[in-house]
Amino acid sequence: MTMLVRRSNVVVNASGPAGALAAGQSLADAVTLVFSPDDHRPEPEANDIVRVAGAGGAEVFVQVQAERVEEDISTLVRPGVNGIALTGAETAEEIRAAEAVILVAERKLRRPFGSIEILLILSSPRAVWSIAQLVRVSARVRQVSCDETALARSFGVAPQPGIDPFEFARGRVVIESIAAGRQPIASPVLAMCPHVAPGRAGVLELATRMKNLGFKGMVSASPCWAGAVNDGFTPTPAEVEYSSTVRRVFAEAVAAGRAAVGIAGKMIDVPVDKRAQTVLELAAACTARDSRKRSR
Amino acid sequence: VTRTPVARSMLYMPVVERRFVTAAWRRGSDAIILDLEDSVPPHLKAHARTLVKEAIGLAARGGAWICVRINSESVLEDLDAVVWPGLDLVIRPKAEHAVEISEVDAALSGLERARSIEPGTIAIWPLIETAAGVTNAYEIAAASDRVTMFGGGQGYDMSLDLGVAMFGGFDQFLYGRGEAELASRALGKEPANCLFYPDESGEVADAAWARAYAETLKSCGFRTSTALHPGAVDALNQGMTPTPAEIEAARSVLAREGHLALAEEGWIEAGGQVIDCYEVDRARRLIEWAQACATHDAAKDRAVAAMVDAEPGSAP
Repeated sequence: MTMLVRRSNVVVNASGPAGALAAGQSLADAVTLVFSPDDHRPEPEANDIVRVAGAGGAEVFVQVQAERVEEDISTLVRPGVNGIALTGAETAEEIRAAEAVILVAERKLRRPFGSIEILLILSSPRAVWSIAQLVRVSARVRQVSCDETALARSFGVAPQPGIDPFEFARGRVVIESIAAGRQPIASPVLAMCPHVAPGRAGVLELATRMKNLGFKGMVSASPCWAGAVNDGFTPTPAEVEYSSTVRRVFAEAVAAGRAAVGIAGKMIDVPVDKRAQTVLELAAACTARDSRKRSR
Repeated sequence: VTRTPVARSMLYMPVVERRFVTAAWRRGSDAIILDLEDSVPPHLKAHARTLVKEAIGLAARGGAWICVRINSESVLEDLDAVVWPGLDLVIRPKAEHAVEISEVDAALSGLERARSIEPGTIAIWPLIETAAGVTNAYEIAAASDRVTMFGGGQGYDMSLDLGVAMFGGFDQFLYGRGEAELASRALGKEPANCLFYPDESGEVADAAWARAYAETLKSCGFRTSTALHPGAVDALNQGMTPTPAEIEAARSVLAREGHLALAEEGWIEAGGQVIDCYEVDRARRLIEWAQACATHDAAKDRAVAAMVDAEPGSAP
């Protein structure tokens, strides 16, 4: 099975063409378009926004509110849309309801069964608490995110640098998503991260931190973040080099009848070798993904 | 809490490395973990199984209690090879479901009967090493009365499953190890491998780091630790053993227990210290733990002395 590489997901306002255009020209792996509920623009114009957003090779999602799944999906899911970013769902029934409407949309658009994905955005404590159940409702759910801005609103906390009220919730999202075979995607409240200043270095630092908590990608608040987010979730040249060394040293050790050896004082055994293998596979998958985008 | 034997240092060693196994008695560790899993190459697994029966006796000569880490892919085959008199505990790695532990329990019962081992004496430590294991931690820990130790939620396999770096110096496993520890404590098991302590080097022989880690373990209520290198063993033993000052302070608290019983309020003040029921209970536990450590250390010393007597010139 092909490794899913969707590191950056740029969320943009789709009320005008500028957001979609900027997102489409960014290096984003995915773009989520947020249409206003009272957006009744002509269909060709809406189709064009989707086309522009995906012009750079990004997968295109449209944001759908759980309380308006029927209306949102039937109007927003159109040619070129890869999936919905479902926000506000707290129960399995709400996800099943979205799935039923997606099925109708797939038939209408003559799309293969299962081709429209659900990016599940958890936006309340209840949803985070119920994640183990929610992520397993539909095979269409491949990625899960916890909208920490919505969570902050729900907690009634004002974001402050250096104070992180979401460590536990974040850990739950990572563990339960991976246990269910889904990818957890970070959606951090930027203001809570002490070291993040605006600019590429800060975004890269934040993305790297999220990667090292187990997230596989990050929601990006701006198209100009996409490159740094991609870099944060792509193995660095140093990681690739070290992983290659681990694989070589471990293979030599196994051939010599040992499966625990040392590199610079660190213990190398089966899980370390397997992790090195996954790092190299991810690096190759990221390179392939970036190459496909560049060829557009 | 179902207390395990004193296990401040549980030293892993590949059972296929005979020089490690024959030297195990010199290491001073409270327990030896004979490994059939990740430190044994796949093509040597079958051979490794044939070595365990003898290795149990060899490794135990220094007074350590003996554990075996089996493979999650060949549980019954491994158990059949490792359950012999002298085995104290089986580590079931990558535990993800309660039924896996029930399976080990049933197999142990049958093998104990067949091999004249007192029924129910071999314990199980289910290791939580995947996200799926974390989600089912409580059920796994509760699956058998043989589970005396429980924990995990961090480490190399967890790093693999989550796709995170091991030695970032920050707590990437907070949720997983927290869940595992909570399940363990809720069920009265000995929590193990559940503490975060910053480590940016990953050096397995770093005695200074091991000492600081062990002292933190002790202060957080943990009594067990594992080691991947003999160089960490002494540091772990010393760091987790109550110091003379701690023992003296505990005795001082216990000496005032009678005053507490007569106090109108639920606490008294002595030497600038507030003493209440919690402090008394903690002092009592510390004294018991210190005595257990001393008893185990004395047993190890006797075992080592016997070995040196038997083999002059072989002192550790």
